[in-house]
Parts: sequence; structure tokens; C-alpha cells
Amino acid sequence: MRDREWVHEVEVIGTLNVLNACADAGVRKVIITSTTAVYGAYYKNPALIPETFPLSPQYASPWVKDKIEAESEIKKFREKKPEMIISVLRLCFVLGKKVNNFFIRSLLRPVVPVVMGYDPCLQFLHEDDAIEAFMLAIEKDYSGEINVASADSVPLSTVIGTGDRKPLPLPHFILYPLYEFLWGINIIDTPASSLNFMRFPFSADTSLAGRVLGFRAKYSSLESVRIFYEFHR
Amino acid sequence: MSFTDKTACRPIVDEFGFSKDFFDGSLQFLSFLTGEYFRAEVHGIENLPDSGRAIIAANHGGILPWDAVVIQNLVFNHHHERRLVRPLMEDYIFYLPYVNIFMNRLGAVRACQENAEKLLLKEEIILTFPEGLKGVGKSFTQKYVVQRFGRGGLVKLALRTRTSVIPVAVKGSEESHPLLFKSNRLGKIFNIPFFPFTLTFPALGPLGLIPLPAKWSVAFGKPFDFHNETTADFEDPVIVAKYNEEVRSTIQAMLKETR
Repeated sequence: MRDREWVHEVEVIGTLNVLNACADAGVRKVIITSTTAVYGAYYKNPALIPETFPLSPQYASPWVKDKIEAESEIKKFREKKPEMIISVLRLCFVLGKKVNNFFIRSLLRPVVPVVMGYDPCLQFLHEDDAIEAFMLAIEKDYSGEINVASADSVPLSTVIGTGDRKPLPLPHFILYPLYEFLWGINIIDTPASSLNFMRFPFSADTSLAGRVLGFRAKYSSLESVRIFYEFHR
Repeated sequence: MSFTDKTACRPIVDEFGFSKDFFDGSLQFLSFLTGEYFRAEVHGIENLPDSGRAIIAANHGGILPWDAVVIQNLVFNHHHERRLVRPLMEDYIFYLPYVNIFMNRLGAVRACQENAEKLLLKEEIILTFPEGLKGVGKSFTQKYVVQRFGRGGLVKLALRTRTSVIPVAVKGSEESHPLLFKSNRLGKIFNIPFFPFTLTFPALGPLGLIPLPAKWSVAFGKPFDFHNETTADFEDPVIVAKYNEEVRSTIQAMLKETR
């Protein structure tokens, strides 16, 4: 995360390398993982973001920027090799035993700093549902981007309350510089831009996954959160 | 399971962020605000359908979205089907701290075509303020002068989804937060469209955001049905502009009537 060059190499060039190698070997179908974070957490987002929503890298955090760039490379590649099926699954936050990312680490702290006056509704996916989505993507042929999320969402305050954690609300004009500073001196592992995901919603419209993959999450967002905290008790 | 009871009291939301628990919890206070504090009168509530989708188009006023709250509360309390109105609000509402949570849990979503269409497909009543920011940002001397209706998004939406539009005239919203002066430059600093100066805000600090106890009245007009239009008319700018102005002038006339 800290080594920008390396992350870029892995996300963008790595994706291209895999695609080129697959095309070279005559692979019929490639399934690529992406994230609903590519839409960006922004107050002007529609309540349920469809796959066709334009991705805007200028608002994105560096990590998401690479994801967006990788996706646009995939799009170009798809146009050049229309015979190949390239499914891009945009997953919302996946909760599971082995999953580890900045968001999950912050949810597991006894005190969770949150942006004062904001309580976005967030989508979570149980790891079993994530696997199910990949199984369906293997079965069904769909070349394009698909949102994979549970249909419902949970307010961040409910998530933190479910885990018996304490929220620590700080005004955004204090919290953002604080995170930037702590990130700069290597104390925390995320830059301030990741706070947007705890401030504004970025819920994805899941109707396409239902139509083309027949995917419907077995666990609701709230159930996934409960199971997650039960495990990490 | 042990953890179910604890979470039962916390808000569970639908896919748009509306929370039934929050709505029920705040109903008593908001009914007091609407009925006792604003002493709001309702006219023509029977013009709202008992079931099925509809678009309410209302005039906009006041720096905080009390008009949306009042209309939602009045419809819920006075319509015999107790229908829930979903307000579509300007972007900046979802940027303001606390206001965004409050409005979102009451069922408000950002005003955009995607949200409006999804809600209409669910046969909901949506509440729109076609004046948008121009309605909120007009000074007190311009009160109840209905501003231009954007570029006709409302009429296009109604034509495309074959939904009737119910014009609504709201009185009282302007007096609750009389806007004396606005500063666009200060607004830029706070990342909001403009920074308002009202009689009480920012002079009294956060207390200045409490609305003045003006008397409110909300009149629901006869619905516009666009059923006899053909699909070719949806994108015809002349027809869209014509209906757009028709809805606007109807609301303006209704405002003059309920003086």
C-alpha cells in the first residue's frame, strides 16, 4: 500500500500481463476481481450505483485509482479481443475469517474513529456469497462488469454497535489532517482518502448480477457483519 | 442467539437508507413540529393517489429542508392511506453533517434520474423541488416567486415513467428561515453552494438554525396526467418546455390563492 510504484505494477501491469498471457494461451474466459470502491464514496452518488456509472479517478484514493486504471485497461483489451470473455466482478467489502484490509482492521479496533455527522449505509458480503458469485461467473458467460453485493446495506453506526465497538466521532476537518499526519509518520496504514468510505455511501446496484449470473446473496449485509464479529470476538 | 437483542434497537435501513425505526421514533416530534409549532394547514390531500406512484412538485424555500419534512409528515398524518413520501433533495443536503443522516433515514435521496426512476418503479410517491437550488437561494424579497424549473427533468421523468405530477404550493417555508444575504465565497470555503445569512443564522450560532414559528400551509393541486402523450413526445424539447412551464405557473397561481 505504501509503495506506490509496486502497487501500480501489480494492479495495472500485472492485470495486463495476465490478460496477455491468457490471450496467448487461448484461454476462453478470464474472471477478474475488482471492487465497488471504484465508484468512489461521494455524496453525489446515486443511492444504488449501476455498472454503467462513469468512474472518476480524480476523486479516488491512490489504491482505487490503480483499480480504475486496471479496469480501463481491461475494457480496452476486451474491445481488441472480443472473442475472449472477460468478467469483472466488482465486489463490495467482503467479510470473512481470512479477509484483511484497512477497513476491516479499523472495524476491529476497540474504538473506531468515525467522521462526525456522517453515517453512510454500507454493503457487506459474506465470504461464502463471494465464492458463490465466482462459481456463477465460471458457469455463466458474461463479458463485462458486474456488481457483486448483498442487496441491502447497513449504517456504519449499526456495524460498530453490532461489534460492541465504540465509535469516536471527530469532525472531518480534524480527522482528515490527523490521518494524513499519522499516515505520513508510519503509524497508521491508510491515507486520509480512505476515510471517505466511512463518510459517504457507495452502494452498488445488484440487479445486473441477478439477471445475468442469477446471483443473490444468501447472507444480508447485517448478517455478514454479525457473523464477522462473532468470529472475531 | 445472544447478539440479536442488542442490535434490534439500532436502525435497519432499506436500500435507499430509509429507516422505519427512525421514522417511527421521530414521528411524534415531527408531528409536533408540523402541527403545533408550524400550525400547518393541509388542503386538497385527496389529490394524492391511494396507491401507486406519483410525483409531487413543490415550491422550495428555506435554507434547511423543513419543507420536505413538513410535506412528508402531513401526508403521513392526513392521508387516509398514511402514505410515505420520499423526498428528492439537492446534493448539498447529503454533504451537511447530521442533516444528511437525518434526511436519509427519513427516506430522502439525492435528486437524480436514477434514484427517481427506481423509487417510481417501486410505486412510491416522490417529492421533488424542481426549482432546486434556485428556490433555496432566493432572497426574502423574492419569496414565493417560483423560479425556473431546471431543464425539464421533472416533466421528462413524468412522461417517460407515465406518472402523474401533483403540484403543491407550500407557504411558510420562506418565513421560517428568511434569507437576507448569501455569500458564495464563504460557501466555497465550506464546500456548500452558498453560505446563508438569515435573521438568526449565523448570529445565534447553531441555535440560529432553529426555524422561526411561521404559520405553514400546504395545498395539493389537481394532478397533471400525461397519459395521452406518445413516446415520441418524451424527448421533444418544445413539449417538455410547455409542460414544464404549465406546472410552474400552476404552483405560482396556487401560491397566490392561498395568501
